Formats: sequence, structure tokens, C-alpha cells
Amino acid sequence: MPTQQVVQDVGEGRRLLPSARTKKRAKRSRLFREFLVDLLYAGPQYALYIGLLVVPFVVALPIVFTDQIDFLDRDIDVVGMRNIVSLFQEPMRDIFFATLRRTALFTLVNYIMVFAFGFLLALAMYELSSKFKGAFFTIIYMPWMVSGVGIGLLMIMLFTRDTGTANLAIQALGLGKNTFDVRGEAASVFGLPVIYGWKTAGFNMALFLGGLLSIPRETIESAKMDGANYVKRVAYVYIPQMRPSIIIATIFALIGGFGIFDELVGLGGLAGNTDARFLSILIYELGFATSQNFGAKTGTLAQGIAVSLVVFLPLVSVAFYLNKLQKKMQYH
Amino acid sequence: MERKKRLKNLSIAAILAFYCAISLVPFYFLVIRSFTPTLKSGEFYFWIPERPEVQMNARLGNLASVNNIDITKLKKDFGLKGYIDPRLTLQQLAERQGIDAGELEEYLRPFIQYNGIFVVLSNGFLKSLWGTIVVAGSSVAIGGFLGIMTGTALAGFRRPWHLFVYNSYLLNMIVPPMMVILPQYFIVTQFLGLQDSYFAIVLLHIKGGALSTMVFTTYIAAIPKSLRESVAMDGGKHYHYFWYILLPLMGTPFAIFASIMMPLFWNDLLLGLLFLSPEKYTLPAFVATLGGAYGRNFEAVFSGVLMSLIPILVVYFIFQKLFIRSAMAGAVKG
Repeated sequence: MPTQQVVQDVGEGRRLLPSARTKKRAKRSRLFREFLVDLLYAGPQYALYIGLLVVPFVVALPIVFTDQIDFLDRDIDVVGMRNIVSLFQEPMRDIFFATLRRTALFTLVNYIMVFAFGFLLALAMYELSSKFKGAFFTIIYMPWMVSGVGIGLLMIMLFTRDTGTANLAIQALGLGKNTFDVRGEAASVFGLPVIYGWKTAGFNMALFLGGLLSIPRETIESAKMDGANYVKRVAYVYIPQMRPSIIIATIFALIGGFGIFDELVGLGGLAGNTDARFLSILIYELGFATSQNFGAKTGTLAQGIAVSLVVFLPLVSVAFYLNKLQKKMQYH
Repeated sequence: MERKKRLKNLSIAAILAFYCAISLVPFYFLVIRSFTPTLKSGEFYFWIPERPEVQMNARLGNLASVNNIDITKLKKDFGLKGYIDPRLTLQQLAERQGIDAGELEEYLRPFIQYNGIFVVLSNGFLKSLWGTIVVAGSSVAIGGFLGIMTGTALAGFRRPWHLFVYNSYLLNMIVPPMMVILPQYFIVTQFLGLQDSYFAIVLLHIKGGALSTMVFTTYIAAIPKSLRESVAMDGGKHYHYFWYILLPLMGTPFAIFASIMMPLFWNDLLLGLLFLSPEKYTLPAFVATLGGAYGRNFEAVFSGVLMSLIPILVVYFIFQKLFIRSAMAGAVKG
């Protein structure tokens, strides 16, 4: 309290200097009090965060080296690296590689869709000056409210053979019968990203629009003066200055693509549609499908944790690197 | 030059309007299909088809398997006893059991005409709607409050450990939920003993994350320090400052937090599926079971999708300006 100090000084007429030790002690106890108050405020949520994100990992990691079948299994033996090795051996290999291939392909197509929907819409929004802008935004963002299961079931509604609305509409126009088929790998690897792109269009648009709005107008104006056409301006003025947004979109697309689950459940991924069996479905089945499912267990819980480690650890490292890169760019 | 500019603007508006029109098509047909009888799913309807009448020559077994009519409930409501042959038609049933055929038809009419909605309602839609409101609502409320507390401590990064905590929250963004779900399930059910409890889901929702920490910390850091100092000068404690000064100022960041997290909490399937028993399922898990168990009754499945979508869409349209502002604010922060 510096103000009180001054008043006291004036009142007594001479300065009573506290010793260096008292000063230091006072400072230390003040800092300690501040620390306690900070802890009081930040502590509760951080305890939850660590307890539910880091601790589980430390506790569950050892399961990878055992033969634990499910969460109720009490007869556990240590088997070393066998679970990780088993992913690359028959019979697990075929399933694992197939799910990995589908997931990776999906993620790639989905990444293209992020730009096909989000980036192009953001460019259009950025150039538009109209009183309908808000209405457009509202409608474009609207599919974001549909649940993942809903997205999967919407696909079934539109593209099922013989009953899908889109198929029936095309048939009614006389342009062909059963143009689309929601079953089959093509639907979950190439069709789903399009619908998923439609769902996330508003979200990605907002992300890119944020990047566009942060570009200084002078750079665009001067490019215009120099006679750069629109495509050139996008390639050489917009995109380089939007790099932070693009990196964030990349992180979201990577994590979201590899983690996609709800949409696949809507497509019947947990109900026997093997073409909708991606990594997340495999991990779910390995971890939670019990003998209730008529004993049709693909593998063990330990293998499930092995899958999530083998796939996601490299992914998280890439995302971590991208995150670092993005931060560095923002400070420049 | 001016005309060229206007033409350009007009064509962009036309393209966007076209995209918006296409974007609404799935919603439109979702409504149509929610009222299209399952037996007519092979036909294309551009408008809601005429309501079907109760066919008195329809067999009971077919009504049970296609329209999911609950025979046990029907028996109870009409006071019927004993085994009823599912091969009987409604007419035969009325004759043999001595029920008035007209009364039976009246009884079944709403069920046949709005089959999807009735099947969804009679299988526990309202209960799971309430469960979802409780989970999503308390997640947003408690999560927001905890986020404000975290922001209060971290704002300004006055100590090195503040920055460390902040950055560790940001890391949540790059952790795929599927990677941690097996360990999390282990902790929550085995150590905390939370089985079949909404609380387990709320706990995992309120544990904090990149967005809440980012939004609240930035907003609180922008509040003038003199406010805190003046409270201290008047002899107020930190909790006075927090409760009377800080919380009332948190309207905007809380709105951003709520409008971004609410759809995610509302639509979260995985946690509901894992931590709850089927009787307590939240809406996405409920809809997923509709797709599984009543896979043959398309009308019911699509009604389920529509009915679980309507509440959040209503909220979205009431607060649409807020949702859009938040999406943009989140993007700029991101």
C-alpha cells in the first residue's frame, strides 16, 4: 500500500526505514498470498484438467504392455510389446490397415473440402457488400447445429439405394436409377467428406474470414494499383498473409478427420457397416464392445490403447509442431 | 467502373444465394421425410404426402414391425388378455375380441398418421431431451464459471507459471478425443465410480479447454487494473472484486463461450453413449439407437433427427447475431 506509507511518513516527520530483511520477508509473504489467491481461482479447473486429461494417460499407459481384455478383466499378465507388434501381424493387420487407409483418405478429401467450402465462401463473403450478408452467414452456419449422428442419418436419407431422396429425385427427372449408394467405401471415404464439408462450412468460413479481415487494406490496394488480377491477388497477397488461419484450419482438419466418430455411427459404423469402420470406430470396438455383442470382439482393450498410441502420437506431434509454427507467425 | 463493381457484387450475391438455397435442401427434405410413411419411402415427394388412413385389413404383426406399434400397450388399453396372433388383421381382432372396430380405428389413427413422431415420443424422447438440457446447460454454466475463475488468475500473465498453465490448456486443441477416451473412461468409472451418471459427462465437459481459457483470459486482461486496486483500497477482498466487479463484466465473453460450446455439448455422442445406460441417453445417443433399433422405420428415424435438431435450431435463430459474432471473435482469436 504505497499511498498509506506516504501519509505515515508525512505524519511522523521522519522516515523509519524498514530493514532489508523485513522488506524481503514482507515481499515474500505478499507474493505467497498472491500465489494462494491465484491458486484458489485457477486451481479447481486445472485440477480437473490434469486429472481428466493427463492422469488417465499415465494410469492407462501401462495397460498397453498387458493382455487386459476389457475394463472388467482382472486376470492381467504382462506381455511386453506384443500388442503393438500384433497390430502389424495377422489377423489384426488387415483390419488395422484397412481402417487406417479409410481414415487417411477421408482426412485428405476432408482437407480439400475445407478449402472448397470454407475458403471459397470466405472469399465471396469478403468481397461482398450487401445487406443480406448476415442472412447468408446465418444459413451457411446453420448445418453446424446438426449432430454428427444426424449428418450420418441425413446421408442415409438422401443416398440410400431405392429410398434415398436424392436418388429418387434423380430418378423422377429421368436421369438414372440409384445414382448414389450410401453403402460402400466410396460413400464413407469420398461422399461423407462432402457432407461433412457442408456441415463445417460456416465454421471454416468464419476461420478464414477472420484471416482475411486481418489483412491490411493497403497491401491489397497497392497490388490492385500494380495491376495484379484477382487470382494473383489471392495467391500472392491474401494467402501469404492468412497463413495463421490456414495452419489453424489444417490442425482442425487433421484432428477432426482422424477423430471422426459420430457421423460414422450415424452411417451404421457400430451396427455392421464395415465400410464406415474408421480408426475411431475400431478403438471404440476394441475398448468397449463387450461380450454383449455376441462375443464378436475384434481384439483386446490393450490393443485398443495400442492403436490410439500408434496412430495419434505421431499426429499430435505434427499438430504440436504446426501449433508452434502458427504462434511464431503471429508474433512476427 | 461503378457499374462493373455493382455487377460483380450482384453476381457474388447470386452465387452465395444459390449456395444457401442448396444448403437448405437437406433440411427441407428432412421435414418431408419425417412425415413420409415408411411404406412410401420408395416414392419421391416434393411436399408432405397425404396422411395415410388406418387400414383395417393390415396385419398386427406388420403394424408392429413396420410402424413399431406397441401391441402390449394396445392390449392393456383395450383390456385384452392372453396371446394374440400377430397374423390377425385389425378387422379380425375387433371381431374376435368384441371391440368396436371404429373405436380401434380411432385409437390407432394418430399413431398411423404421425407414426414417426409417436414412435420417437413413446420411446423416451422427452426424457433424453431433458437429460440433454441438464447436461449441456450445467456444462455451459459451470464450465463458464470455472473458466472465468481461471481467467481471473491467469489474466496478464504476471508470473511465469501463468503462461505455462495457459499454454497447457491450449494443447487441448490438438488432443483428439478418441486418443484419450479409453484412459478417461478408466479413470471416471473405476476411480471416481461414476457409472450411468450425467455428472461424469459434465465433469469431462467442464475440465477446461483452449477456447474458454483463451476467451476469458483475454477479456479479463483487458479490464483496467485500477478497478481491482480501487476495490482493494476500499478494503474489499479478492472475492468482492470477483463477485461484484468482474462477474457483471463477463457478459460478452460468456456469450461467446456459450454459443460456441453449446452446439458441441448438445451434439456430443461419444460421452453419452459411453457413460449412460440406454434409459438415460442424451439426444445424439438416443437418435443413434433409433437408427439402430428402428432401422426399418425410416419415418421414425428421420423424425428423431428432426426433433432433436429443432430445440438447438430455435436457440440458434433466437441468438443468431450472437452466434455469428462469436464465430468471428473465435476465429480472430484462433
